[in-house]
Amino acid sequence: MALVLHLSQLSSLSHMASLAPRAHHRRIARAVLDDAAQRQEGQVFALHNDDLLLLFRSDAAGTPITETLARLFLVDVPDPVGLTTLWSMARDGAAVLQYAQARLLDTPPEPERPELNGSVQAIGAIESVIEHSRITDLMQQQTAVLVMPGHAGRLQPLFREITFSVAVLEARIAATGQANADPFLFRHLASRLDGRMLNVLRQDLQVNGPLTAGTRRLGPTLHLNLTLSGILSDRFAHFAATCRAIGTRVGVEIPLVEACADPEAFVTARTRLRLAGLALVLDGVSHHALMLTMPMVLEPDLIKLDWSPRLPEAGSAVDQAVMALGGDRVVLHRAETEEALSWGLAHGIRRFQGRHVDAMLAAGRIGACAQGSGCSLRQCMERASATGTAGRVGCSNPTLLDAAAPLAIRAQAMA
Amino acid sequence: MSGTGFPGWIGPSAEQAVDPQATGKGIHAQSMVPVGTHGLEELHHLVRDCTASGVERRVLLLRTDLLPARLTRTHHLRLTRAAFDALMTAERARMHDLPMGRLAVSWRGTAPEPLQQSLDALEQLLGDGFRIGPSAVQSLIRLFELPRDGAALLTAAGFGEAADAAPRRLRIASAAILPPPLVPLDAAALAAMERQLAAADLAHFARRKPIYRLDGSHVRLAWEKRYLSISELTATLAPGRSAQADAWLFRRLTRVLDRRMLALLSAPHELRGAGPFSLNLNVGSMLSPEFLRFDAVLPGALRGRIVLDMQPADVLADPAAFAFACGFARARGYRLLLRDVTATLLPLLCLSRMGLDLVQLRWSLGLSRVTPLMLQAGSTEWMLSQADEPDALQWGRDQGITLFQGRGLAATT
Repeated sequence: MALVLHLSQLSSLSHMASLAPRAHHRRIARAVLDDAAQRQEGQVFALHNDDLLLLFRSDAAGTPITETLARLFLVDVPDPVGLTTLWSMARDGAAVLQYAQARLLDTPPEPERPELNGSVQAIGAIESVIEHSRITDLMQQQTAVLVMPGHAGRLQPLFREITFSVAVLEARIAATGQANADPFLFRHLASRLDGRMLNVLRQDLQVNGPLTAGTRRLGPTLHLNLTLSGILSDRFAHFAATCRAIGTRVGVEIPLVEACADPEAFVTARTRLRLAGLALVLDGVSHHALMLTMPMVLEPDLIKLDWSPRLPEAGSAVDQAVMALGGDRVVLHRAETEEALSWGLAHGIRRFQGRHVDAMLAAGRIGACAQGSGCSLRQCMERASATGTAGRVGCSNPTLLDAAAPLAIRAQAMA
Repeated sequence: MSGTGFPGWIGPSAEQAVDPQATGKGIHAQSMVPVGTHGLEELHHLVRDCTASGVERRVLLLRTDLLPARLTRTHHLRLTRAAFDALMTAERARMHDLPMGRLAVSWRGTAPEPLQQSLDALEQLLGDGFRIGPSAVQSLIRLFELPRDGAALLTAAGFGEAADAAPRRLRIASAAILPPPLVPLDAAALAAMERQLAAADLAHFARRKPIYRLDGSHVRLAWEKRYLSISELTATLAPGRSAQADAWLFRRLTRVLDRRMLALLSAPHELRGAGPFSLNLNVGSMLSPEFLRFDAVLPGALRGRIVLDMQPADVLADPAAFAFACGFARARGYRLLLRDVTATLLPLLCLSRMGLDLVQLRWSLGLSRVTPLMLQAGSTEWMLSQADEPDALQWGRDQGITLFQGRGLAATT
């Protein structure tokens, strides 16, 4: 018998092109097949397109290899049985050979690097960049919207999230993929970013600067990402005191994983946020995480659920979990496609954030802009995400570019 | 101290004030006596004023000087101070830094709600977070009513009351000469440590801890937990540093050490004649080449008797990898355990969906408030760790738990 494990199809089958096949998929699948080969007098061949070919005797006892593989990939693909093809060598031997030969003509995959993901040195270098760079050049912003009930096309800006741009940080140290390759190192980095973020926003608030202008009126709320140690720091106390004095509306986003890592500190941080009158947003809730947790127990004001193309296929368990959260509490995050919006609306969700929302807002701006004929949608989106003036070069109508930003910015720009 | 307008604010110098080195915390009490006398002066004034005016005030005193040394790092003290946030909203609330690191909050009137919130926060922090037994928690916190308790407050707040009032096991902060506080590990120090680890022989840092099965009055060894002593290892490779102070760098370090532990266990003859054991592993480590090598040399007699322990935050950092790792480990006959589940975490986790064999609850007073309903997770078996005190053991038995880890148990066998 011949079995082909189509690891090359993992990305298309899972809709997660950036993630699959991951190094552990290759490594463990190979180990499972090697084990089967040993038990069933077979041999494993690694094809150049990431597929694995196992030639084996079919009459051995034990769990069928296809079943083991299907169980392994159950979470990664909706139909893991489709990942494998079984051939009878007696009948299809020539076809198997032809398939394997064709795959051997492909470019071989890069050999696996044995070290851990992400290096500590790279994180150290990024820390140094943060210390010595102008902060607004490292940041980006994104607007979340409320889809107005009864006005499917009308978007009301809800909050504006200011974050550090991982891509910019990595570009500064010429190490693409290093900053968030290791989730633990990334959380450490986040704690280092907190201090700078709080200082720059506090100063901006005090002088009614461009980053936070308008947050005292009825414009969108300002959202920032903080770690628990950041919230428990003196800098945060200074920042919160300033927000309170000015009456600005701020939401603080905390990743679910951070809350789980230290639930006691989370409870203390939540108390501190409440006393300061700031909203608590639970960030980074994937549909996988939603299946393993009950985030409402953490009593956040909003929950950011990450959109995934797997959500519509995930079945009633996910639907029930989303219903339990309550549509009014959920922001569908990373809403990159029309499908995301449709799914969200069908599930009672009205709050959205992501590239698709950025594009809708940009399309609205270009349509309304007298000078917009020479601008592409992408340019308008990128300029709107910039926090510094450098990133906005080329836009001759900054007033409109900020249309999704707080009202005061618009007033200021028009004056 | 106070007065910035933000009720949660505990003082512009809090960052320095919670630094054990700066304050003369209990562990440095001998050499840093003058620190905290200002707070004591404030209390003297307060007592005098209350006595003269008859205006009632209350004072909550926290004997931070009696905290075990392991709980006197900067972040512990910061969390402790933050537990007073609610109380700082009470009328005329002030925080007083006292000698030997003791801490007091005074306020006007009774303020029952903020007081209860702060007491709950403290109890939760000290009990669930710091894992101090309930009786010890009681000895750390005292409430005084002014003007009635003025003299008793000044005695307890200053040097007058020795640490004798506290149980002996908490008397770590006495005047003994202890090493200076550890500096948190940073990225550069961790990078250096990782380089050293690559060449270091870790065999003499390997430790074992017994897990017991209690069946009626019969106690037997269920398995041994095998681990590397990270504190000893850090003291050797990065002296003066604390690996635990930065939680995320610590987790990264555990991933490096997982692989070394697996390599250690894969050495020829290492597992010959070994009994069943458990390993703390990160999800990523279960999918590493080192795990595959360990799996390849695992003696047949041990297959099906090895428990792999994972942490909740690690599971949630990459749930897809967790599911994949579980599928693989299960196919290879390993038993899966979720460890360090606290009373606070328990209601958050959907344990029945995780497909685990075992869940390890970490004992704290908060667990006694857990309902039996919360301990239903399909066919998952429960285990109670850090069951050092009789009440922990009793609670576990009452819940039908038979697997325990704790110092008290070692003595009964």
